[in-house]
Amino acid sequence: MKKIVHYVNQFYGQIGAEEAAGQKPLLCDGPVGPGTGLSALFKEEAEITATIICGDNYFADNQSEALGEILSMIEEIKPDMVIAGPGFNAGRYGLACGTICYEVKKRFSIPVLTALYPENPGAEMFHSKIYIVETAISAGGMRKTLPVMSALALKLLNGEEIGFPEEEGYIPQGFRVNVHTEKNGAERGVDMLIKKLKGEPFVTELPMPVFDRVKPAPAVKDMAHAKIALITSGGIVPQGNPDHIPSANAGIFGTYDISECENLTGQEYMTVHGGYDPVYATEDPDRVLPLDAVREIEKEGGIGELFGKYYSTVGNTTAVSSAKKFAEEIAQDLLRNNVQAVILTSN
Amino acid sequence: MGNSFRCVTNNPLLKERGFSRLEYYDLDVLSLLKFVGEEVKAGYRLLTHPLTGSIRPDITPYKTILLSAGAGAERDFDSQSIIENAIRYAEDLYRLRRVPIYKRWDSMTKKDFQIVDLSIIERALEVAQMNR
Amino acid sequence: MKLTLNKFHVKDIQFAEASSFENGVLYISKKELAEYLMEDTNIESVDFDVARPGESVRIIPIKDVIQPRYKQSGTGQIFPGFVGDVETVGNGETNVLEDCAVATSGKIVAFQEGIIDMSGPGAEFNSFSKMNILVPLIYPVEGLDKHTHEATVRVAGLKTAAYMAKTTLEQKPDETETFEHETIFEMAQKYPELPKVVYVDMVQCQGLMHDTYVYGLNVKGILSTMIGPLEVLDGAIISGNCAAPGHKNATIHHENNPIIESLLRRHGKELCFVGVLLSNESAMLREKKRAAYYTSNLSSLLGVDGMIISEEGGGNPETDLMLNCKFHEKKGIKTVLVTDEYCGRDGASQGLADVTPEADAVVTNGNGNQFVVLPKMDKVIGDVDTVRIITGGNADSIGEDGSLSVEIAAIMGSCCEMGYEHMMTRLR
Repeated sequence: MKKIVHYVNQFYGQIGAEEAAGQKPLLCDGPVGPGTGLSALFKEEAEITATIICGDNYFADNQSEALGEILSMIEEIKPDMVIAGPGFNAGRYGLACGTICYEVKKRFSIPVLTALYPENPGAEMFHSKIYIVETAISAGGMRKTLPVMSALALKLLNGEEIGFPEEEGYIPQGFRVNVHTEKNGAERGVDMLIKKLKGEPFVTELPMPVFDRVKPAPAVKDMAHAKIALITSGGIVPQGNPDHIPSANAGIFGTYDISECENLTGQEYMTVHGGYDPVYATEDPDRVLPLDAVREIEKEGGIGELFGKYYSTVGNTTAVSSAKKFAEEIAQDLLRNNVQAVILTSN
Repeated sequence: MGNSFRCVTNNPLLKERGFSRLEYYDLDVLSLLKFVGEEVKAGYRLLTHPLTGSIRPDITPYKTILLSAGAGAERDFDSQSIIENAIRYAEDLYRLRRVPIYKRWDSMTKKDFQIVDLSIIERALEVAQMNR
Repeated sequence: MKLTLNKFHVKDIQFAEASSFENGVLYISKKELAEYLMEDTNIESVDFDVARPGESVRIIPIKDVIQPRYKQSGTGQIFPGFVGDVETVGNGETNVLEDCAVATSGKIVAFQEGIIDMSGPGAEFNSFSKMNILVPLIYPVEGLDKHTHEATVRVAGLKTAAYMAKTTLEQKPDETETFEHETIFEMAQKYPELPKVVYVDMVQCQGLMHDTYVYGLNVKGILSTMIGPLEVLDGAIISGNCAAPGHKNATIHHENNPIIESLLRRHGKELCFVGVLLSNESAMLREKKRAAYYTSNLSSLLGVDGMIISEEGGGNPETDLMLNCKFHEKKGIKTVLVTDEYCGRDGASQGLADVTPEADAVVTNGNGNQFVVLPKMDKVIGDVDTVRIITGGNADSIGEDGSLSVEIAAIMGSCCEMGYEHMMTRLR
């Protein structure tokens, strides 16, 4: 029977939640958490002989050590395959799953597999290098994901030919390959035209690249009389995070009054962004949202005035569709308040 | 004769055509496209498509591109988008082989590429003249 | 208007004393055909060869591929402006040799490619490998300039095709297919409920080896114009384009334009096929815009609901393709684009030289950058030297065993942008 090593984080490894995120790599016999479900699906063809559990923060903060420890555990076991996750849309976990699978494939030349939500940074970084099964945004999709993973894992283990993403359930790796078709191109084109004319759904054979090009607005001619606003995706919020903006995959933004404020301090403001080391932002939130500098320019007469509110959200793994929605709402509010220009900062 | 366009080329055959604003550069096609990209940034407009003809930029060693005589105050959006896409397209094709095809031709073959490039530019001018 | 194609299936081509067509075998008198072609005093000598499906034969370099057709009845003659007079075609009966083609070979410029392999892996990338092919080898008089040389070979190919199909006159075809196309007013009354559709056929016209002819006229500098679909099937559009064999529209593609055929077959059933618009592929950006604006306006004047467009070549024609798409969509005319791609050896690059967000319905006929190893063939028809030159040939492309490593872009019609072949790309 083929041997599989499974990698999970502290949460799925049933050690604890965020408080256990500093857990160092831990080797357990047999399957744990989602591995139990996977193992059952493998039936007699393969088994998870060991599970490696590692805290998300430990992996993110000490990547080379963590990776070294994990790889040497794997080297000792000599498995036939390594599976990681599913990591859904968890950013740190997804990056760990992708990194480990990619490194294992590179070093040991054995098949690897993980499962992530397509917008997970781990998927964005590794989808062209390894097979990543597409999952739902959250662990609610576990039951659907495991059978897809186990089927693809067995194919990889047995060296079978891997079909197209639609058939196998993995995130497209980004390679276009020639295939022969039953109908010629002209028939397919006329079919597509008829569907398009009827308003029926059709699938283009060649999607255009994503167009997110924004034509810059003309420069502000008279900055000395312009009203300027501040926006950040760096997660700067008043202490206590009154709107409960999540640290990742934010679905909301907050609007906060700074009309009386000259300078952001760590006593009154904080960052809720989960994707960067918060130490420097906590020390001085102006480093992310430069209120102090703008106030100075305002005093010097470089700008007319600073708008009395700022907008904040968390850019960490936030979906483009959400960001677009925020931008539309914020832009409307800016127009209502006669703001002429904005300064956008990230982290 | 005075031309109301800049003729940017790496085709030596163009030298014999007597364009008053001929600019000959000893560059490969991709570098020539990049040069034109800078000129477009400086406000010049493309008059011809930078990928004229059906011979790929990694296959033909020669390309001639006509640009507006003067630079506009603002960049021409269409020209910029077309030249940027052309550069990307050519870069991808240059990567296709260890040594791009255009580097391999003998002198007789090169001459033929020059003739085809010249024919395309003469046709472009003929049509422009016809429709004036 | 009604055009009937009398189809004769060709099982073999043989050389004989006299030319005839009997029991599916086409007999050709080399002498008679040579005399006919050498009416053109630019030809010094001519020879012929035959390639059959499955043979270990490679034809290279190929300039054009033509399907033999000859008019049994109706006005005008096949290939008007070249073989026939400039009289309107597209009605009556036309005799067609199926599973049969003429492939003109001959070196006009040194770098010319265009391969047909009759067997092996290369044979899988086009339909021509399944046809019986007559190859006229045209040797021009010395000192002929390249433009005249190209024209000489082009016309000789058309004359050969007409000569071949003429042997079937008054014979009973294996099968017939009739296409009908009414005037616009008639079809509007007959099919008021069906969506009205136009086909935009982009024609290239950029100079030596990059030209297209309609009724013998080089389409350079023309305003977009309209042509009846049945006229196209009678050879009203001729290819003078001999670059980029994988995605150039050869004369056989025009004669069998698969988009026109598909629209005609569904005309009156699923859609109302109003007609064909020719849109110029020029080298000048202003001409490109003019062509796309003018074509989209013709579509508006015709009041169509939908449009399908095909391009020829890659690179600059994608700008024409996208402009046409954009301007039509802006007028509310639903558009489908037919193209191919150069997306790299691994298929990871963006394969078009121009794109527009309006292009949401695209058919792709394959990635021309796919590499294929073509084994050495027992026989090469055409020019053995070209095998060496092809794709800048050197150690990189020719193996010790004589095999060739080429992109499928070098294979005639492999990624035909009219959708003649059965290939596409899929994302993985």
